[in-house]
Amino acid sequence: MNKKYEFRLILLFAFLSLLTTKTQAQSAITEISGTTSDLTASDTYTANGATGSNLANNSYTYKYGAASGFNDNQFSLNSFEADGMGYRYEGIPVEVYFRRVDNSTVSGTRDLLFYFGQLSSSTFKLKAPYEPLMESAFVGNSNMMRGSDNLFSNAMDGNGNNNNIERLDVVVSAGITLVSAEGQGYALLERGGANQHDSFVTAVILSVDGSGTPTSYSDVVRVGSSEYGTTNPIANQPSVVLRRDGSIEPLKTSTTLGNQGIGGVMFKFSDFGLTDGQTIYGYSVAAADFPSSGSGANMLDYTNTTYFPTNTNGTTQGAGGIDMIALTGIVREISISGNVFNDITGLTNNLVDGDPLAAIEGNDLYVNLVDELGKVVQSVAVEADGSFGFDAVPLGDLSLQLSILEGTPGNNAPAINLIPEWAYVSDMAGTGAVAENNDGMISFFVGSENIDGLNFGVQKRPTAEIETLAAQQNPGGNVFVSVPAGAFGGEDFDGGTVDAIRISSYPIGADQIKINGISYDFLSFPAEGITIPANVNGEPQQTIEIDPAEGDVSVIINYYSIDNAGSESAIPGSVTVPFTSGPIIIVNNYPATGYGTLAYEDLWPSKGDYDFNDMVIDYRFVITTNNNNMVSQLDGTFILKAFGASYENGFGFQLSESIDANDLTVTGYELSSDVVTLSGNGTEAGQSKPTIIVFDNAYEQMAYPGTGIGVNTTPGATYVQPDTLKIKIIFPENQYSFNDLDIANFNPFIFVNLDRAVEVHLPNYAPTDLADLSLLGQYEDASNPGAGIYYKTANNLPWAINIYESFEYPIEKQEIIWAHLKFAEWATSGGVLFPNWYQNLSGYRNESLIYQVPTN
Amino acid sequence: MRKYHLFFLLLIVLVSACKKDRDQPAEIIPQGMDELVVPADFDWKTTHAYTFELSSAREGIVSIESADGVVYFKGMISQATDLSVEISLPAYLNKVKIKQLGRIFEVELNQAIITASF
Repeated sequence: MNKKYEFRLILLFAFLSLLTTKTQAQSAITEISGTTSDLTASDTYTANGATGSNLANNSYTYKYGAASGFNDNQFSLNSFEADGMGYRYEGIPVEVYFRRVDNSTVSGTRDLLFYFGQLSSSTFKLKAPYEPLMESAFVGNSNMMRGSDNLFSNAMDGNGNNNNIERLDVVVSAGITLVSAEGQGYALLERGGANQHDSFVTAVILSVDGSGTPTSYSDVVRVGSSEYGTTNPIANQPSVVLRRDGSIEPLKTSTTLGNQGIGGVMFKFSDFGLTDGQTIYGYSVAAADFPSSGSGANMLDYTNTTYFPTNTNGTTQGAGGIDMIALTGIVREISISGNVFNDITGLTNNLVDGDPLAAIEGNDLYVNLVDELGKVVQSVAVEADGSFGFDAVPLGDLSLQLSILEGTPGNNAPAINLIPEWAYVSDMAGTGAVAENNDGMISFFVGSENIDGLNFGVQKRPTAEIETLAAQQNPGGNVFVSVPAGAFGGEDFDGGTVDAIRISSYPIGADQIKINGISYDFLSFPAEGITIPANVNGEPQQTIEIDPAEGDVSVIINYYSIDNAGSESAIPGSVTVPFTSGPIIIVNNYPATGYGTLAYEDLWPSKGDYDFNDMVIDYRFVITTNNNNMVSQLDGTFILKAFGASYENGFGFQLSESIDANDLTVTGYELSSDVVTLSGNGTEAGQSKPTIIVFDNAYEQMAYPGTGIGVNTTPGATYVQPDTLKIKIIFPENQYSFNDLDIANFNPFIFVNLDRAVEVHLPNYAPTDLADLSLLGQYEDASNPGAGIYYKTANNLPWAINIYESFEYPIEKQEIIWAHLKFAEWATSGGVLFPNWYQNLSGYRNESLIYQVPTN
Repeated sequence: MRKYHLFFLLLIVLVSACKKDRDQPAEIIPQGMDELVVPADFDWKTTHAYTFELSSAREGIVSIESADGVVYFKGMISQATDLSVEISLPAYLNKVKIKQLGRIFEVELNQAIITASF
């Protein structure tokens, strides 16, 4: 044959080989899940090793099943994973035939099996129960703790582990019509070390005769060692090879083996070119020396030594050395499925139910199958009838996520999103009727079974209305105004109803809100809002009242409608209640808590007796400002309570230099002794700062009662009713601010014994322009104007004090520190200790030294 | 026997004296105002002054109140006009509420300038 023809012949063979034999369509099995159990069945016998083996001359005890002492006697396949997909064992009954052809080594029937187990002190301890007949051991999913050894080996095994089997037929005589050629198939598992598994060929039986003998085959698929993958899904363990001939004697050991695991290969029927709707009758397995040129038709005659040589080599990884695990039968991909419902009842009925749903308002719904790492495995669109399904899913922990976003396999899962107007209301994991969640995600574990009933419930959210009421007069103060229920409203869809509203946040512009009789302010309003039952129109069934803030203000109540499934409206509704008021007048008081007190010693610049009762005046200012915080009026109330002095003293005060006295109009003063000169506007003349003289002679305000020193300081002396004077100061419009007024730093003073030039001020407050400055620093006074020090002694004692609250003054000649017992600590601590020393608290006073107003 | 009586009497006196010294250290109580040692910078005021820097996104009356509802200040603030106001509060006051249009801030009076933004 010339080279040209030889080359063409090679091409022809190669082409025919492609037509008849496929390789690498199958997938390595990467994970096996099964059930391991501890059996009670056991068998024990005594026998020598197998004839022709090295163990033939030794006697051994054989213990099987429970007698072995192992507790993993039974291992049945539940499911496995290949090419990232899970398959489960279908349990369809099969018949197993070992097709034999006598050869020069083996004739008749030889049962050649291995059992996982080991030799221990002349005892073979074998995990699986005793089953000597290969046909029985290999039927179905009986026990994977055993299998064949050198299944198709005819010669050359050093321990005599050869056989005369040329083909293994796994027959389903009734036939199986393929529903999914892509999802149905079979697996072949083999004992061996990783990367050391044995080769073989296999084909699908397309027809059988009345005896279950195949009459036609599919294409043949060849499997090499590499098709098992690189790791064994079942870990290594020792095993023992046993055999018997003629089906009469018990199995006897021929070889003990070291640690080997289980690997496997999965075949889909589509790998053989089969399609949905075809009927198959099982599959056959043969030695790897079945020629590459052999077709399915050549698989029929296992006696044809061209295709089934009778000298098949059984050495390690030889053509016939497959150590097939005793597992036969059909497997099918694991599927999961569920439905999507428009569930208007949500979790309230513990069911995921309602009308089927495939899209929401034009947006298709997708179910994304997501693995433990958050990666999308598969993504499917929900069918028009609301159903969805995944026909091949991996084993393990998975989740389904319902979204309007379609996932891309291998990528991170997209967000679990619906359009804002729709909500997840119920999810159900697995079969059963209990709705478990409402987050659009179902988590589950894929083991050996299909999972149905992975259902999602979604629904359209209700809406909430936006309403603005007519403006009304602001009642002012702490007055509540009812908000009509009809101002609120909502609508639900698809048969659902609005059940409630939730006021989601504290209303804007309200000092208080009262719901069903319970008042809340900004701080006490619950962070989660307040839910109120509503009628089907979304009108609250409890009273809602608001106390508006002062002025022109709109109170805005934000709320959500809630439907019977518990879904809230996507967008909050609101009720706006506008309030109007007249011109804004703001009133402040100083002191805010009530009257304060000014208490003086009048012997300045000589020190006094520190009873601080030479002049005692309660005072309080009312400051009126407008909406620009500009002062329009200052009203001062002064109550002359006592004066423990023989001097005829006057009283006045000075305001901030920020204010021009000429801008003011003052009324309410009482002058009687002709020692004060006023300007036309009521302020004192000759002053650079606005100065108001309230009265000029205390004795003209409160008559001397005839006994005691002065008025209302000597116990037992006749009590004289205090004299109240009200000073009104009108300010020009929008000229002086609250800060300009600086009322807390007003400068009150007395002037002594009708001498306008002798003034006594609070410590560090300067005298007025009319004071005799030459008196500063005389006697005990240690004023130092250059340092801003006024009216203090050398040891920092004052001649006057200003108390924020009304002061109960000492009786005559009793020092303040004796009457007010915390005063000394307050003073010596620089005001840190007992800042409330003047209050009537336990231990704060010696009441016997405090002037008591007679009760009769 | 009388010697022993005298011994025990002395012992009791000594023990009592020691106990008093240990539990009640001698307190110097001023007999009069002149004996007070007052810090030179003490201003004798019963109030503390604070500056409140207030702002809001909405126009409305702001108030500064005590926990028990005493209103120390009320004024107007608006989106366009922040308010800086100096207020003297009782020295014993530790915290106040600042309120505007129903919103409330609770603030500690632990600094001279207090800021609140509504």
